[in-house]
Amino acid sequence: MTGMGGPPGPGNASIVAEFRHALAWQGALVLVLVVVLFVGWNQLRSMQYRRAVARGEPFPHVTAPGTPEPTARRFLRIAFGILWTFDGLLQLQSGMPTGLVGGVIKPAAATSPGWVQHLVDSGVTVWANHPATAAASTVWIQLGIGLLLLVGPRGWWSRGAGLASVGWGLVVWSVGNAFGGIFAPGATVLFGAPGAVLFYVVAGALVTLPDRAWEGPQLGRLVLRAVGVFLLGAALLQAWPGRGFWQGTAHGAPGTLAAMVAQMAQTAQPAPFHSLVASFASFDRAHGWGVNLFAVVALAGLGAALLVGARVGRRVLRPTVIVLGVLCVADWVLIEDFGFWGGVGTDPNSMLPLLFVAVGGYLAVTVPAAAAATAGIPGEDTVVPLTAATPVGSGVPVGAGVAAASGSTGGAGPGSTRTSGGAAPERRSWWEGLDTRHAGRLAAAVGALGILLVGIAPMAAAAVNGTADPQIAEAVDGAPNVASGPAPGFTLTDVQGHSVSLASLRGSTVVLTFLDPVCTTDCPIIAQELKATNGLLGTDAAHVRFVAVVANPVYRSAAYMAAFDRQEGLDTQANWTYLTGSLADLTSVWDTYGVSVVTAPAGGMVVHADIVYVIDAHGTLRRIINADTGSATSSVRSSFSGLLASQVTQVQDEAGRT
Amino acid sequence: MSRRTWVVVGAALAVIVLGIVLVAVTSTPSPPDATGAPSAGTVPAAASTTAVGGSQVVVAMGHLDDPSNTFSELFDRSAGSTTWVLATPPGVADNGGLVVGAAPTGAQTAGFLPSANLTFSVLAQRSAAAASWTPGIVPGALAAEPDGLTTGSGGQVAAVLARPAPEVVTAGPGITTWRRLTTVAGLDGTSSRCAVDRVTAVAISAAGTPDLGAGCAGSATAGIFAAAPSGGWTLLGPLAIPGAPSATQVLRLQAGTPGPTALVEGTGGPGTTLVAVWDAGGSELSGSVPLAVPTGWSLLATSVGGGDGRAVTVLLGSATGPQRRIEIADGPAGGTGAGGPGAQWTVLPAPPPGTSAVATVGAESDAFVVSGNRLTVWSLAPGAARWSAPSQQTVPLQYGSSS
Repeated sequence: MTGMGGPPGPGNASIVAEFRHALAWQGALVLVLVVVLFVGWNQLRSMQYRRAVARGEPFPHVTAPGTPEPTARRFLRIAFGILWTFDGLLQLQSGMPTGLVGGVIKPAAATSPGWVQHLVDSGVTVWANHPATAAASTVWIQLGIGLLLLVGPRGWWSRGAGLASVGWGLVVWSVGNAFGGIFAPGATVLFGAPGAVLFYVVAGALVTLPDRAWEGPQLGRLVLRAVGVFLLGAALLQAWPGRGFWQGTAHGAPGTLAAMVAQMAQTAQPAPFHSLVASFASFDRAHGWGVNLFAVVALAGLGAALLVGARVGRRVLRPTVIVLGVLCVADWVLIEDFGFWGGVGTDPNSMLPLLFVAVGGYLAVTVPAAAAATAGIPGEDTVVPLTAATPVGSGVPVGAGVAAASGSTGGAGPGSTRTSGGAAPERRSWWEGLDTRHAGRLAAAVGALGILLVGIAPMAAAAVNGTADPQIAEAVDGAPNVASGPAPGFTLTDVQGHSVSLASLRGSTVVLTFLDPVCTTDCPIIAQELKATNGLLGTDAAHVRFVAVVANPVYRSAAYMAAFDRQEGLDTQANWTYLTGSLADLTSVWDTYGVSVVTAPAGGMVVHADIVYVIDAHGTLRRIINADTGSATSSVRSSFSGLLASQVTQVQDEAGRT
Repeated sequence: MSRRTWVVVGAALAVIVLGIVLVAVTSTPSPPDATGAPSAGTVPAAASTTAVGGSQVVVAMGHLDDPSNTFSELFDRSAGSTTWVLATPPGVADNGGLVVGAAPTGAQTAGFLPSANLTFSVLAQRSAAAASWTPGIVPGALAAEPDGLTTGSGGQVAAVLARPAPEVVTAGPGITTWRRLTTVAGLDGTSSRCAVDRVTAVAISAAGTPDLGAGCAGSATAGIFAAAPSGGWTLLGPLAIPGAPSATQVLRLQAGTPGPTALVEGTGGPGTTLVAVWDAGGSELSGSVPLAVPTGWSLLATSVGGGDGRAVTVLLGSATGPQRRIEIADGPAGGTGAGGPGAQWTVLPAPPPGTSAVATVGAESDAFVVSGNRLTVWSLAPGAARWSAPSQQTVPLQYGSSS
């Protein structure tokens, strides 16, 4: 077909512009939220300062330090907070809206079983239908999770951050990562199996655990043993014969690992890294057996050492974790190639997260958390309740509000009463006792949660909106052209042999197009798009006529039109009309509407332009819309239908005003 | 948390991981996701027919590994001419395949098989020596059989349909009104010697009556049927295909005098065998010696006609290499009487590499070699030891037009 275009590719200017527009207004919301929170926090500090001065009390209020956060938990929270934040920033790449599905998600699922592909397709549909919204939402969701992990106060805020990490991580792992490729052939831990985000999920689950879970080394031992078993399993998989990892080359072609690394080297990246990875690919091609042997021995040895070290302790664990760290970094650089190059990299791949989980387990074993100082609230900031003996101005903490905010039950409640030397109780406002530092963290956490919601809300709206964004169609075909002037008239014959003129359709908005009844590609697709548009118009469709004119000089009689209508299910659509006529009459209409129709030789399809005209109820031509189906994905087709429906509605409004 | 709790949590995690590993190990990858467009029908093997009025051949050209850029081209060679001329009807894409039924007079009916989003078949008709085609349509989708469409001397047309239901339909000259001739169910049960599972070919005899070729499941009988004077169908012969096949299929069926000429395939048993079959008159059939298709080889192309007018020619090819072999079973001498059981296959000199179609015209054979949009035709003169006199032509294939 003439004018056939492809799908919106990565970096499509129209989609990128829409992506940046979405980021901008969402960013504005985030900015407003941050400003409000900052102003509120400063206002609180001002009020606390004035009240403290008036009472002659110390400022700022600081609660007694509670049980410190377990080192392992703190490490995991910060490490994965940074990772999520980094991943959120990676989502800002301009190639994400239209490149992530075709360049990352679908290839990851391509060799997986059908049920995995089906699951991936269901999630991909949301992204494919709303690329700008989904891409922008993902930025904020991952930034929100990362910041929440980093700044969330101890207790339910922090644990909630871990839960969010688990939830979003599972979504990404299943739908976006095809379960890390574990159901596809050729999965290897060296290249990222079972999916980096799975380690985010594990870390998030650990952060979600209550503080008492971190008492003692048991949790750390469980983590280390799990990592140990995982590495042993990875070693077994790596050693399994017939998977191509033992061969650097096979039948003249690179072995499995060499091919993977060579493919990574082709990713657009700075030259030094390309050279490094390409060199390793060559090395593996030449010494594939040795490289795999090393990998198997290293994975098995580390796995066994972790299993043993979990019981023995630091003596074995420390060198094991150090070696694991060295090998993880080496794999991250030489094989995974950092994971985020190429314009659609979503994360730094799996080696760093794996290492972080192992280090977390190591810290949990070697630096166990202390037991809680206050019964029932282990690990939370402690509130020292005021008593009659508490002197005024002693600087003794009065953090009643802190207790309320952190969810614990210790200490006095809001509006607590303070006594001084036996005098009558003095009512205090809830904000007076707020720990300033804690309030700051609380404000930051609220901000992070707000960022998260700024991402979740549009993503959820996109998920329930089955019609693709019109920007996709515009990216393929350009924006609709606004026209004016009377639509050229014609009189042709419908399937039943009745004469139909354009003038007889006055009073209805006419959607006019040109279709080849024996077309094998575009025309059936355009027919379905028009059918879908009819559905989207709802009750307004009663005032719309969809008219197609035959665009084939050979197969143009009613029999072919009828067969086409049956094929497309349009024979029962009341407002559908397919018209034909003599070759002279048809040629006149084609010429008048600028549609060239050319018969091709040697088994080629008749060539004609894909175009739609929207004519208002007064017979005025209002829109000329390129209807090239492009890649004809379901998103492109849905988008065109949505775009056309919106244009028809606009034309109806315009006609109503004239 | 107590030790017991940790043990329980660890065991639960281990069970989950083991389950995932088991599913991963037992799951099989799926082929790449297909597009939403309906798949094109199976393009029938290259087929040639020679009749009194001339010869025709349908050859697949283009990028043969890409269905949207594979085009089925019709070439005609008029009686007395030595030149093959491109004759593909215009107006519709033929990526799904093309079947052509020619009448002894030279009139032709071409049928376009469904392709991509086109789910029904259209036709094109022309009389002998006419330059232009007249469009037509069948009430459904043609079956992908080389002889699934035929034209009678009186201009009537018969077609084997795959959709909406497997059936045979016929129309008079002008193909304006179609009526059902029979269905698979209607043909099955006609004879206990053939459990018909599909209709694969149709021909119209000189008397204007239809003959049908069918697949017989669980039988070694050649499924060739003729319309009975009283209505219904009669199994011709019966002729048992040698080699004890477990099923047979009529691959080609062409009308002739005194009866049809056919190529029948027997499968199962020791392998695949091909038998040329002739109607000796009086509903008696005679067959050639069976031609065993070597293991790893397949039937690439067929030709009916030529020789004494009832010759059957097959092109066999290796699946793993460029080897080709052409064998021809000539019909009953002079076209009268029975060829007799045991008519021999004659191996022709090795055809040029890449031969994808063959045509027997009179005593001469033509081999067609396709390379993209270039067609090279080699000829083998009677008694010659090698193929010679190649002619080339470039066909204006419309690459990308169906993408």
